[in-house]
Amino acid sequence: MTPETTGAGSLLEVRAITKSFGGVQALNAADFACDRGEIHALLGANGAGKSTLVKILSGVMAPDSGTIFFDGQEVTFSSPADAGAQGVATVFQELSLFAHLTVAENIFIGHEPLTRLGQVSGRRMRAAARALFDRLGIDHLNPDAMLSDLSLADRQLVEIFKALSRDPRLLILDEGTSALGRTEVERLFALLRKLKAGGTSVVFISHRMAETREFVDRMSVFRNGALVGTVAAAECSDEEIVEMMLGQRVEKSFPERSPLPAGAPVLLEVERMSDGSRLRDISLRLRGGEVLGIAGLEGQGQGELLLALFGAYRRLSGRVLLHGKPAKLSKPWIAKRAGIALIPEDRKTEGLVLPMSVRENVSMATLPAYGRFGFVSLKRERQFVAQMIARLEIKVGGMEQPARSLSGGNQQKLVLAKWLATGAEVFLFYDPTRGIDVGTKRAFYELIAGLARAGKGVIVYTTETSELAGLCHRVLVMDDGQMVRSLEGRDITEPKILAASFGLGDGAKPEKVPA
Amino acid sequence: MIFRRYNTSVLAVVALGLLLIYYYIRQPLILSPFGAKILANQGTTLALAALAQLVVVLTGGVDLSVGAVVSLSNCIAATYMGSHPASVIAVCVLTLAVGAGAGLVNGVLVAYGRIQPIIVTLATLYIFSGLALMVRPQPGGLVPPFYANALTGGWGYLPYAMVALFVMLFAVWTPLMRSRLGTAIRAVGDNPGGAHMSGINVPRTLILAYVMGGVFAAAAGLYLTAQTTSGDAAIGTSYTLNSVAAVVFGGALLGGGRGVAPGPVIAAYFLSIIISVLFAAGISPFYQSVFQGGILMVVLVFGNLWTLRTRNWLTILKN
Amino acid sequence: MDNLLARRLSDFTRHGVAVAYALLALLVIAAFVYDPGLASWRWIHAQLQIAAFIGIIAIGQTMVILIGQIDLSVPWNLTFSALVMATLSSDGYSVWLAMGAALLCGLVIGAINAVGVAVFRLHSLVWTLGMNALLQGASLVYTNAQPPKSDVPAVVREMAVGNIFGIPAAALIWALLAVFTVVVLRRSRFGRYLYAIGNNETALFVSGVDSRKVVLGAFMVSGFGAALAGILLTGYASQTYLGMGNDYLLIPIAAVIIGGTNVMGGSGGYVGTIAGALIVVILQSLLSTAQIGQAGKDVVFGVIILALVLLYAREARPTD
Repeated sequence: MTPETTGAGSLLEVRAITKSFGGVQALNAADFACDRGEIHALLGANGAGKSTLVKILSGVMAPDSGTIFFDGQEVTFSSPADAGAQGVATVFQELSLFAHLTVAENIFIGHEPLTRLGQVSGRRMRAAARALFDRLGIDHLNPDAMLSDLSLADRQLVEIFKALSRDPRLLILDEGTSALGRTEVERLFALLRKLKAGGTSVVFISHRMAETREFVDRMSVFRNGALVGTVAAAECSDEEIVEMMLGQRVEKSFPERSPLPAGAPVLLEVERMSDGSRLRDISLRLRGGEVLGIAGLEGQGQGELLLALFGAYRRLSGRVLLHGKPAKLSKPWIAKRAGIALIPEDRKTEGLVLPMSVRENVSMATLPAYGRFGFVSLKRERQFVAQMIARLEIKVGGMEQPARSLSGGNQQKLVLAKWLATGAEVFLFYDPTRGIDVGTKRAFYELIAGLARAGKGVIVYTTETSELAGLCHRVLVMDDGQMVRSLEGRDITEPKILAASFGLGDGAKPEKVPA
Repeated sequence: MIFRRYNTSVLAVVALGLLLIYYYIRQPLILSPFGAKILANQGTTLALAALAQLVVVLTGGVDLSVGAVVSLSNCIAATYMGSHPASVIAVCVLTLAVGAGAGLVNGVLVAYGRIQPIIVTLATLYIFSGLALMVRPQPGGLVPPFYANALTGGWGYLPYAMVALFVMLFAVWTPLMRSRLGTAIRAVGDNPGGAHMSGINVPRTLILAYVMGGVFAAAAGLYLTAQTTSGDAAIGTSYTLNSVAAVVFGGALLGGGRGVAPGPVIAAYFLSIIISVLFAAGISPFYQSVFQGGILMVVLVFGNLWTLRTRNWLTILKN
Repeated sequence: MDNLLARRLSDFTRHGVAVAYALLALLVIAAFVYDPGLASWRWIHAQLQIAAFIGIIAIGQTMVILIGQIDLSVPWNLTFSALVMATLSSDGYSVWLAMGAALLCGLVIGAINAVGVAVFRLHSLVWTLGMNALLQGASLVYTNAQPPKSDVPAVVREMAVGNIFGIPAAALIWALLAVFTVVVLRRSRFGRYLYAIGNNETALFVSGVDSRKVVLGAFMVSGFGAALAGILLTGYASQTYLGMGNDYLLIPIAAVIIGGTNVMGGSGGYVGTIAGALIVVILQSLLSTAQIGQAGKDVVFGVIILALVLLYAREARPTD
């Protein structure tokens, strides 16, 4: 095969990359090109395929099909080390750091400067680290500090330095600035511009569009696993970009929202809940029959909030009232008894015991109900599980099948079945439809609406903005552990939720939300 | 901050200091060339065994076969050493090679066999101690006096035991741990996935760490041979537990990634000397294991008290 | 395959249980061929007798391994509990009280093991290793290194070496406990939770179940089994002695692993362990018949365990 060459300008070109995970198409014939010496931002709503693309470019995973050209040559990246050797360095979020090594050791791991005797030269390594810091104008990092003593922002800097220490030709930063403050971001971009002047290209992914837009040359917007378009950053408005990210309105059919009865009782009330780090002064109120959405960028404390309500955190400050009475939700079993159910973030590690059977998983939370003296009546257990399978229309070959063998959507239904049986009043959903097929998504919307109709309270955190817009009576937006905005009634639209999450438009200023 | 990172090793230094002061008050004779020799000799075997344990603990494993390798090398040395200096040196080298081989077996099974270190080393514990018993069914053997003197004697206040330990520490341990291998060992124990992503050859690193552990365990056996001047297939048994105790007490993290040599070495001396101090204080020697086991348990709890402070139950469970 | 029986059958073949029973049958045949003199009720009787001690210890060890932990405190828990019983009965207390005290000892030791594991989240390996040393010292201190020399009470001797309808009483005790164990593992909440913890403790926790209590139960069963084995061994040897537990660390663990229980926890069960216990006992007997000494036995057992673990209990590749 003759080596195909690409346009002289492109350092990296990706053609028709496809990648799917168990039936879910993460990338669908996606194209992407990055010029020599440019800073290029990747944008897209959650699940648009940016992260998958980055993982493929950094050698973490292989594409199902498609080709990658680097410097005019067709290449494959078989591992991160391989990609690194070919000149592509990626800044992962804390994934590759070592808590008990020093800053300098972390940066130079695997290619430490040596003395003539083959010893790692601490002196030269420190000097090299300092030289790197100077390039970025960072003076507060101590090369000898333990990584575990560093703040999140500093750890991210270390990740960036680690990538830079290998003098890459293409630097990929995956949400590299989410923990950095404004001045740090400016310094970082000052450095990136220097790198750019030296011919290095930078691919940059960040949700902080407003902050980073002024620093980048071009932006590529992804949607549903494919490239929508590439624009010069200076020639595009925020509104246009949001539109590109959302695209043509694909009308998803959501079940009709049941009206919230005027006198609906308050089921759950949270007053000024804080956990000392990720949750700050959270207050909210949930009525029976209400679907309350939690929006925001990923990792702003939404997961922590749901876990805290389920009793997975200890020493929380603030107050929780259930049915108007103070409740101390300090353990999951206490929360369970109080009528709270959690459909957790990761059904594979938190929701299900994958190797165990459908039957054993569905009955996991309610085992005492099927027998006496600590024993389980298999007959009663099977009756109940059969009932649940029928009610939720779970597609299984049989109830002795291991949960692992089910599709994602049916696995998620198992988790829900487990909790329906507990007679819970308040349901907490953590991204319930992530990675499941459209048909089952639709079934989940029906189930959630059904719970609300039956007078239960539902709190949903989801990364799919359309779901929030389609399902919720009210949407609270979280940013950095705080509730920054509340959207109700006509304000619950996708653009408004997205704008508020990105801190754009009238949602830009954090403000306290009355509960 | 120093206390937080090296919490239990600071404790070990303080404990050893207090112990020596108390010992001196009960028995002033320890502050003499003879006393220094006795004190130094007592802890050296365990100090070497603790280093053997430390390198494996740094990778995130535990080596239950340390005691058996100590026994095996003790039996080989005492059985085949002979009395000619050349044969003594040859057998010492052979013994260290056997230790390396034992480590290689452990390392390959852990790295390529993908079996948990606990199960691997529990099984090889029996294999190595069985081999030791085959080499030497009854205690005995022959150790030339010059060999014993070279390792357990002293020159004024300088015990040769210290010289032996320092040679192993500064001519073998430190250069290895300061090479890229040393960083790789700590990185693998800290975050195996991250180590792989950073381009470290994880299986190779694991194997070399176990081999290094085997060599140090064999060195401990050689020292023990000089001390007891005989071979005994059961003599190493207690070194498994006590090496783990010394490593934990010396500030290393079970689970890997953190730990430096001085802590476990000092803890090893503490754990060894406390036995004679108990004896000097008139406490029955039967309490020996009570103290050794008890100290390990207390230190473990002390080192893991943070679990009672962590807010998120899930992170505790996933740890 | 919506049939419980079908699933049990597939578990049986998949998790090495079938391998264990096939191995057992082969071993018995090999033994009879190697030495036809062995094919006697006397030999079988003797094997059952010894297998009972190992099998009883392996009940708790199976549960502990099912939750992904290990109990290394068995040898001196066994010895210490036996010493407590022997001392009390030689001091003139009733034999029932003495046995009760010994069993209580085992339960308390198991509970302390569980607290380290479940509350302080320490790995059971080092925690129970420390406990073992502590109990070794405690045994010396408690008896002044001189175990009581008085006669072992008749009840204890009968339990260990007596016969009921020609079957060893110890084996009958084991059989009763074994049936109970199998039922508990398969049909009780506790059993269900053991498997869940071994596979994914987080998921059980997020189902609102207090997994710490389950861990407590598993270690207490292990402590109880060690103490009961201590009592029976006292009757069997007609005396207590320091180090009587030394042979009971690796052998019961070997029985569990040979029986197909995953060393990482989560799968397996006691049906396989029963075969495992019989296999290790017959192997020992054969090695003795072949005049292979203790050293050779240790090596052979170590190699067999490694081989079996390599066969069916390897960790998944980290990249999978």
